[in-house]
Amino acid sequence: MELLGLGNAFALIGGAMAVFLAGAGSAIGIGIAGRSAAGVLTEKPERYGINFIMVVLPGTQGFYGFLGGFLVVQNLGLLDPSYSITLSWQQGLMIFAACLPIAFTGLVSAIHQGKVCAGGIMMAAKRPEMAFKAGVVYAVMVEVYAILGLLVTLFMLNSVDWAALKEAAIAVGN
Amino acid sequence: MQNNVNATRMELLGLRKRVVLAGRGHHLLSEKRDEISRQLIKIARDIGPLRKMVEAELLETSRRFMLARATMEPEDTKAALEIATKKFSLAIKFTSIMSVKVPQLSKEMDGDIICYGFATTSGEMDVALLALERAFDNLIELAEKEKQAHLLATELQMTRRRVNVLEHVVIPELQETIKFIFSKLAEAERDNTSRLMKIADMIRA
Amino acid sequence: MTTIAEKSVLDFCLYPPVGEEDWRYAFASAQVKSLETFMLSKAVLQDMASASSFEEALDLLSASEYSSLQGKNLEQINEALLEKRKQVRSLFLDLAVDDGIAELLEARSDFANLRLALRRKLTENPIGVDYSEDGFVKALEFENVFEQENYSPLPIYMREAIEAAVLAYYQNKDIRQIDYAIDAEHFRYIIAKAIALKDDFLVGLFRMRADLTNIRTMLRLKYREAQELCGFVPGGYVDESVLKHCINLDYDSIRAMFFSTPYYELVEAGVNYLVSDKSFLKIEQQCDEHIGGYLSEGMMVTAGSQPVIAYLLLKESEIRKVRLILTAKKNLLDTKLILDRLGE
Repeated sequence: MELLGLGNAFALIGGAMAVFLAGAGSAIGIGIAGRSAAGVLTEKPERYGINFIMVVLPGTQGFYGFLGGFLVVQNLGLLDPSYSITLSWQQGLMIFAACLPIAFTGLVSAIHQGKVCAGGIMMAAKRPEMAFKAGVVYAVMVEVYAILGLLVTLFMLNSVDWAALKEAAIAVGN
Repeated sequence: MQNNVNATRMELLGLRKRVVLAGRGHHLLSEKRDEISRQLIKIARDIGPLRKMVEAELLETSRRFMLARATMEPEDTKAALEIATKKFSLAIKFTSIMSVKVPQLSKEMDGDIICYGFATTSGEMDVALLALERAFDNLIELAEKEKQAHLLATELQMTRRRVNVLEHVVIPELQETIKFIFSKLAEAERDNTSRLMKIADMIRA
Repeated sequence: MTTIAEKSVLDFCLYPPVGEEDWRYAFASAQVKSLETFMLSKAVLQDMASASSFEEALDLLSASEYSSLQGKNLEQINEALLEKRKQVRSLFLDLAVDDGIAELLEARSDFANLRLALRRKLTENPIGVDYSEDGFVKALEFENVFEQENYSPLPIYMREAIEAAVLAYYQNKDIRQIDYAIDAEHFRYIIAKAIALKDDFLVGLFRMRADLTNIRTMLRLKYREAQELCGFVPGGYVDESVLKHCINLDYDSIRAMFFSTPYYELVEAGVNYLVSDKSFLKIEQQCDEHIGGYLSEGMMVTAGSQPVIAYLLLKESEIRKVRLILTAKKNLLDTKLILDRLGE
C-alpha cells in the first residue's frame, strides 16, 4: 500500500499544532495579564515598566511553538525550492509526536502564566517592592515547564535523520 | 403719717386695733412664709438629683443616637424614623400648695417607641429610644417640679416682702403714730391741767 | 415566592467559601486592587479616633482621598461623603461584568425606598419626592408608581415585597410589620438571586449577613424584653428556632448556644459588652469585622466578582467609619467609645 505524502502531512500537522496551540495559549495569557495591567494602570500609571515585563512573559510560549513549527518546516525543506523531502508515515508520526510537548506545555503554561502574571501585577500594585522578587520569579517558574517542553521537542525532532533524508532528496531531484 | 393724722382719741383707738391686726397678719404671714419655704426646700431637694439624672439621661440618649445615626446609611435613618408609632399626650391640671395654684402634669403614652425593623437599623438606636422613653417620665416630673418651685418661689418672695413690710414699716409706723397721738393727747391733757391750775390760782388770788 | 435551598449544616469553619475565579473580571479586579491601596489604613482611623479635636481628626485625612473635606462643617462633610459613596457605587456598576450582581446590590436602595414609600402610603401621609436615586428603579418612576397606585412597572420581586408588607401591616396595623416583611423579602430575594447567579461569594455573604442580622435582632429583642418574637430574616445558616430559643435564655447560655457556629467569638464579645455597658456597639463592631474579614478573603481572589464586590462594601464601610469618627469628634464623644465601635 502506497502512503506517499502521508508522512509529510503528519509532520506538517505537528508543526502547525506547535504553532497554533502555543500561540493561542500565549494570546490568552497575554490577554489576561494585559487586562489586569490595564486595570492597575487606570489608577497607577507609574507602574507601566514592571507591568510591561509581566504582560510580555506569557508571550514566550508562542515563540517556542513558532520555533518548533519553524524547525519542522525548515527541515522538510519547504523553504528551499531546490529539494523536497519525503517522509514515510512512520517518520511523519515521529515528527508529529515531537511537536506535541511544546504544543501542549505551551498552551497550558501560557494561560497559567498569564494568570500568575495577573496576580503578580495586582500584588505589585499593593507591594511594589515585591514586584520583581515574587511576581516575575513566579511567572518564570511557570516558564520553566514551557522551556522543558521546547527542549524535548527539539530533541525529539532529531529522531529523524534529516541530513540523510536531505541528501536522498537532492539525489532524487538530480 | 404723723403730719396728716388727727390726734384724737378715736384715731388712737382705731390705730391700736390696726396694730393688733397687723401683728396678727404678720404672725400669719410669717407662718405662711415658713411653710412655703419648707415646701420649696422639699421640692428643691428633689429637683437637684432629678435634674442631674435627666440631664445625664438626655446626654446619653443623644450620644447614642448620634452614634447610631453615624453608623447607619442616611436613607435608612430616614425610613426608620420618619413615621412614629408612639402616641404621646400631656394633660395639665392645677392643685394648690399653700393656696398657690401649681400645675400637675400627667402624660399618656401609647404604643411602642421602637417603630422600625431590625435589618437596616442599629441597636444603638433602640438603646437611645428606650432611654429616651425612660427619661420622659423623669423629664415630665422635672418640668412639673420646676414649675412648682418657680411659682412657690414667687409666692415666697411676695409673702416675705409682705412680712417685712408689716414688720419693719407698717407696725413701727403705726406704733410711732400711736405714740405720737398719745403724747399729743398727754400734752393736751397737761396743757389743760396747767391752764385749769392757772385759772384756779387767779380765782383764789 | 422564591424559596431558598436550605443548608442546615455549617460546613465551614469561619467564613463560607468565597467561590471560584472568573477571569472576565481581570481588569476590574486589578483596578479595585490598586484602588484598595488608597484606602485608609486601620492606623489612620485609630489615630483619627484618638485625635484631640475635630480639626485634628480632619487634618489626618489631608493626605488621603478625603482631603476635600478640609475646612468644611459637619453638614457639608456628610454631603461630601454621600457624594463619595455615590461615586463608589457608580464605579462598581461600571466594573460589574454581570448585570445580575449590580442589580443585586442596587436592590438595597430599592428596598429602602420601598420601605419609606409604604410607610408613608399606609399611614396616609404624602408620598413625597425625596427618594434615593441609587436604586434599580429610578426615583422619579418610583414616585409615579406610588402616586398612581399602579405597581405594574415595578419588578416582580418588589411587587411581592409590597404585597407581603401590606398584608403584614393590616394584620394588626403595626407599622413595624412593614419593615419586618420588607426585610424578610429583601433577604429572600437577594439570596435566591445570588443562588440563581451561581455566585458563591454573594450567597455566602448574604447568608452570613442574614445570620448576623438575626443575631443582632435576637439580642435587641432580648434587650427590650419584647413579647412577640418577630423580625428575623430568612436565609441564614443558623436556624430561626435556635435564635428564638436563645431569647429566653440568660446571657451566659446564649454564648454556649453559638459554640458550634463561626459566630461564637463575636457573640461572646458582643454579649459581654452588652452586659457590662448596656450597649450594642461591640456586637455591631464585631459583625462589621466579621463581614470585613470575609470581604478581605474575597479580595484575595486574583480575579473574579469577589474583589469588586468586596471593594464596594469595604469602601462603603470606610465611608461610614469616617462619618462616624468625624461626627463623634465634632460632638466630643469619648475616644474610648469610638475605639470600641471601630475595633482594635
